[in-house]
Amino acid sequence: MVILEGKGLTKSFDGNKIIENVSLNLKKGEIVSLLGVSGVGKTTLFNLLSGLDVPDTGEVYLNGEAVTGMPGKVGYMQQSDLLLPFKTTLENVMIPLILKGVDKKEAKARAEAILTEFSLFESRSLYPGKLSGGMRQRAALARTFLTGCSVFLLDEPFSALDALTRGEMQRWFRNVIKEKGASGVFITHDVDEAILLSDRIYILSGEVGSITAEVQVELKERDAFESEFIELKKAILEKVK
Amino acid sequence: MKKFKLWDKAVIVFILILWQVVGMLEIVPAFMLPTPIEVLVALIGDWKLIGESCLITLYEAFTGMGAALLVSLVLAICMDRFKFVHEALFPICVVSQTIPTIAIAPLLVLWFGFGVTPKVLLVFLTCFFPLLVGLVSGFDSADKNVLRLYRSMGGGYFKTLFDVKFPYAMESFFAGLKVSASYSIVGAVIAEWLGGDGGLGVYMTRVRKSFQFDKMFAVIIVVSALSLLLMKFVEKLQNRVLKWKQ
Ligand SMILES: Nc1ncnc2c1ncn2[C@@H]1O[C@H](COP(=O)(O)OP(=O)(O)O)[C@@H](O)[C@H]1O
Ligand SMILES: [Mg+2]
Repeated sequence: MVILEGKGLTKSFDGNKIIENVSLNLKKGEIVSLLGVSGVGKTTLFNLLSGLDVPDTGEVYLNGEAVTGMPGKVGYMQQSDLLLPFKTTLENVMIPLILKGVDKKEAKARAEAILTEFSLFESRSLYPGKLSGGMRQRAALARTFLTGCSVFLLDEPFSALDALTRGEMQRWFRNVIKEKGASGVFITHDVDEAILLSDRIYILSGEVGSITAEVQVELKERDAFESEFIELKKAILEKVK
Repeated sequence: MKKFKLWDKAVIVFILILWQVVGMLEIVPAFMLPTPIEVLVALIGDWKLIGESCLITLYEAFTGMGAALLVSLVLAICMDRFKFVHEALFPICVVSQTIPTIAIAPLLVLWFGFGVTPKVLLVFLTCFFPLLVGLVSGFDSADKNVLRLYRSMGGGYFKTLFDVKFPYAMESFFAGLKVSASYSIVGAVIAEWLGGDGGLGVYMTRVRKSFQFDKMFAVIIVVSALSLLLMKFVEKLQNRVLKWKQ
């Protein structure tokens, strides 16, 4: 069942066409990645899908309903973490709950629980300016999850993490999505990450960005050392070029 | 403003000593340049009157500044909420700043008499603009993407204003508040020069007319001390509000 769908999305800035006629979809319970070199228009596409920006042409549907240009329907973690510098880590993570009217005590408890999972509990009373890039990214990810949406758009959610934390966060992310029956699209330019985490990969490329390939990831083992994995990676790298 | 270091203090002490010596040697006629000790004596001797004057001036300064705070706050929010209010009123506010305060003070006295009103008004007029600019440009300095995110998570206009825009605006607001704080005392004193029943400015005019240089110096010191104290207070407040910056 398709839960989020973009149809024929085109967007220009100051007369420069950035992406053209992009159609893609996300099914319930699925994790899809969007792969492409930097500057190709991945973030632009996400801004359209999340409703923060309005496409020149095309529509976005959530559960079959047109939501083009309507923000707040999906949990969107933007590329820059957008933590509020004057709120502590805990306060930042609590924002979506507070804005939804969740009781302050409960919001605090839930935020603390997710911060613990993200190894950020110790840093809960620090201001974002005092956190490392990886910690900020984790805090932003935690905040996105607390929006309580069932569809997530994550723009390079793991890019600032060190290798160890990254593996941990990736596993956590996949588990949570699968357990909750949620769905998500995430942006990456790391082919390994795309294969490891997603059920399906869209490749965005070209002078004017468009979907040039769609790859189904069907692996018995999600292990970067299996020959199957390496074959798939080769095939994808071929297509990204 | 940093704390005075040892050297700064040494220089101040040196100047005071030099001043004292020059005064005692009577290089300058004693009645024109009283020594620091004489000034101190005058200050203590006339303390009751100076203290009363202080209270009057402070009352005018605080009332004027409080009113300026209130009005600039309301206006800044209106300007933020409605673009046309900004477009209609901001240029006028800017132009109004080219009118020197000292030039309108006599006019205010003519209109409102020798009571407290013209003094409070003058303080209001001098404090209002830095506060308004501080707030308006502060609101504008809020990260647009953060604002958008906050709205998309369900923050309404006022919620976003108080949770996001105000905290972002605090730095530039405090810059304006510091300027206003230092203007407020001086503004009140200048207004009092033109006549009234009390206040440091009135006291100043009186001692000037009777050539009491020691009291003149004493009251000048009090005026600067008040401004300095007020600035310090604002600074302390700022450090507290902006503690996330440290
Ligand atoms: N608001 C904007 N105004 C003008 N140009 C933009 C804007 N946003 C993105 N672009 C341009 O669109 C192109 C694609 O950007 P982006 O979507 O951020 O790429 P990616 O996320 O794939 O790295 C870039 O050339 C960028 O300069
Ligand atoms: Mg991007």
